[in-house]
Amino acid sequence: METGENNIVICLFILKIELLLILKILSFMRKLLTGMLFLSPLALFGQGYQLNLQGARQVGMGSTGLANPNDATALFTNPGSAVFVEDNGITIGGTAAFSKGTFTDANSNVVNHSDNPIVTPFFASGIYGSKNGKWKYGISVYTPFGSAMKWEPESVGRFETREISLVSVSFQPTVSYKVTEKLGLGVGLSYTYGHVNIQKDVPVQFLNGNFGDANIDAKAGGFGVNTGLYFKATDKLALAFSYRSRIKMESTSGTATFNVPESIASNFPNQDITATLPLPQVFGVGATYKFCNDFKMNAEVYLSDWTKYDTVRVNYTEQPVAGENSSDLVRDYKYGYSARVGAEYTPERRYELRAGLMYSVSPIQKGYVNPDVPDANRINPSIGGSYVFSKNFKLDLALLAEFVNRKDKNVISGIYGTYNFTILLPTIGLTYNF
Amino acid sequence: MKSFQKYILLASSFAFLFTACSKEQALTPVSKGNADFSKYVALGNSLTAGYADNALYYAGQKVSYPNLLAQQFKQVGGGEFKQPLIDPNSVGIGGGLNAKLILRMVNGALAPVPAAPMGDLTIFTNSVASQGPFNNMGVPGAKLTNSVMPGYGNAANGLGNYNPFFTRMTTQPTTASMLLDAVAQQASFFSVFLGNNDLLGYATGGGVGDVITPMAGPAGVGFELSYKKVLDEMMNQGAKGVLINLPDVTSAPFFTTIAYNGLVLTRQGQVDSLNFAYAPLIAGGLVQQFQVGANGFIIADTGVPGGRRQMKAGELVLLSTPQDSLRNAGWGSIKPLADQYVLNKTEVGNITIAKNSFNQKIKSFADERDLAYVDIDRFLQNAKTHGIELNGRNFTTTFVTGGIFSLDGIHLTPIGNVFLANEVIKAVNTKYNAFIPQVDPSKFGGVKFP
Repeated sequence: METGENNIVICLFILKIELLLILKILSFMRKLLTGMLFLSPLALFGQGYQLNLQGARQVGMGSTGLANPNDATALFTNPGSAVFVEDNGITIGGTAAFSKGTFTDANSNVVNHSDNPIVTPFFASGIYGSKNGKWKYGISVYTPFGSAMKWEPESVGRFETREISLVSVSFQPTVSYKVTEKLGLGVGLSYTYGHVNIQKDVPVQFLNGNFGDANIDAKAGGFGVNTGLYFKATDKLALAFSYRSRIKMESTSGTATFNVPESIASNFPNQDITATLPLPQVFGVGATYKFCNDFKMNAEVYLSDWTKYDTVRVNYTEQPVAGENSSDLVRDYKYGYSARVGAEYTPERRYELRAGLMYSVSPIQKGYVNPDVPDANRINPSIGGSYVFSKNFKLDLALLAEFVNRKDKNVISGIYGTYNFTILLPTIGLTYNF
Repeated sequence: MKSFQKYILLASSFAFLFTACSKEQALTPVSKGNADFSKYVALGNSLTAGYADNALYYAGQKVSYPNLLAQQFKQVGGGEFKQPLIDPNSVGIGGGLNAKLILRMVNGALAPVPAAPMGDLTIFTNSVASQGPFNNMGVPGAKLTNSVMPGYGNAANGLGNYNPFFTRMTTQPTTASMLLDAVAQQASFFSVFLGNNDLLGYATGGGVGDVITPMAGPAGVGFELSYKKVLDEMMNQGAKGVLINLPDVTSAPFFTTIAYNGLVLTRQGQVDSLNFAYAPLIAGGLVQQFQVGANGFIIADTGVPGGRRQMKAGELVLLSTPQDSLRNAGWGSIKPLADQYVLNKTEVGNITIAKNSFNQKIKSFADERDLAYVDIDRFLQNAKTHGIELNGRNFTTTFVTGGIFSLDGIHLTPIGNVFLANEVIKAVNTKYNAFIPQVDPSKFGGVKFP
């Protein structure tokens, strides 16, 4: 125990001394980011329905880990760092996303509740390569994007979204190459499968007063690239850069189903639909600094380019619906941005501890918040820990909390009010090394 | 374990970071401002009574804009709001002793048809006056000038000076006026939506059979002094209130659904025979050459030689025109449309001029007496030209599909009443520095479909 405590004291002391260095790194990253910002004349925005839940260790540290390879989850986080993962092994895990919130209508003071179904993003990665070799190979399966929202009946937004569920799964084989003892480079090719279902009320009334109902369901797929660089600048400092490409999710099958009064049913023909859902390209830069053997910190910034996510057009392939050949969901997302820090304490013991903080700026612009993804600028704190059964077997746990609070008036639908959401994301991971 | 405590400290400082952030205030604190909503009385006509689909019936009364308002006023100290309710199972009754209209499939097309061959006459024979007094003093058919007439519930006064909708709700049919019954309730807050029938009597009759109320003349005859009397007496105890102006008739689908050039010819044979039949009038410039496609209807007009001519843009065909006769009996082509189904340019002009001067008068009353003023005329013009987007729904003044107007083309649907109530709330909030939450429109709709 004594040694451990001394270590901490020393670490905190070093932390103080080296604060200057951190500030230098941060200022470097700010410059880098300002450069990226400059590409867009508008302010930058955050995350939309992008998930940052592809590894329990990362989640515990504010969803960081670009320059901090530890297990097979590095294949997603930064393929360039994967070759520096010491052991061959597999890591599996998942998250239970508990989300609950309200919409308070600014005009009527009416409060609508959203008690969302629990969704379970997951990840599974395996990494293999010869010990201290130049190459590592891996395969990962993970959930890059997801959302579930279910509003109580007769909510203000019922004619926009009553219920939405979006699930996606990516399959990514990866190679990671050790260019030098300090530099790693990795590339993963991903195929992403997605399934989106939107249910909303149609503003036509049956004789009994009930409104009609529309159900839009689409399955889609698309290819993408996940690449990264990892650079071990010194024994203490590692730097990293990652890039995940845009994925153009083209629908492979889709249907629109309507339930409306019989006398006007011919205006709402059930039929097949097509749609394209563009997922953003994501840039990340980060650093890991090892203050001492058992304490390190990560600092990272991410930029998500959602600019292709402007108008999602649902095309009716057979007949017009209520006189229209398509239905447009105007979203007009711009850039999402997030800054993250995480700390990790890894005594050579049975346990490890982590904490982190992520600040994200939403890609959803003022005037474009919708009841389907009521995103906002948010501060997400997280904590995490591991239990080390043996050198080969580890259990990772993490808890990430998200708080959404945003007032907006949608320029298209006119929906005007405040969204308040609390999302809790307990995450578990198991690593087995061989 | 000091180290552990430090980590706990670290973790709790993270927790502090987000709680310290400023939160958007979701609920706006309600406030009655400098008005008193404890006793609200609404004076008006059919639009205030909750008349819809050409009849007064229970479901319409429940969503009358004053009843919707009263429910919102309850959040700022408003009291009970009584209405002369009709039995929930009744088909209701309209001005023509008819039942309410409903949409039904007729010969493969949707059409508004009466829900029953006859209206529910027990509504007129069974007085509900003992349940009063009623905060909703909306009497279908009442003109502004009628509202100040004593004995408006007395059948002996004869048609026009007597109204069975008032008879059923007043305890003193032979002596009471709508205004007297309203004043007796000592309202702390009131609304006035009167004057529509002073225009509509003329407009819905095609400019024949009734006249527009003149501006001048004593109370009970002229518009200005009648309105002044209403306000003088409603305000004699210091009540505050809101005045609603009069919408243009061209906002209502009753006047706009059938186009002036709705005579659609599909065969050259029809065209030729009409051109032959109307050759003299075509030569005289009163009728244009007929053609395949849209043509102006032929209407009766005593002011031209031959007594008939073709309609021109800007003239209106009323929804009361029997549409079977338009389609199958040669109305508007071989037979001219009778004057009672048409508003010609002069008549439309008369109505517009009168509406504008009435609205100027109402506005100046509101300004002089520091009352809230609702420009529902402008609201409906805007709905007509641009449509209104409401939480993902779009509303227009189009018949049936527009959502705002009920099946009679003049009175409001439930959501139409919500719009009106919310326009009133906005005006009242502004005038009296209050925050009364608006009616949540999410549960309300327009016309119901089979």
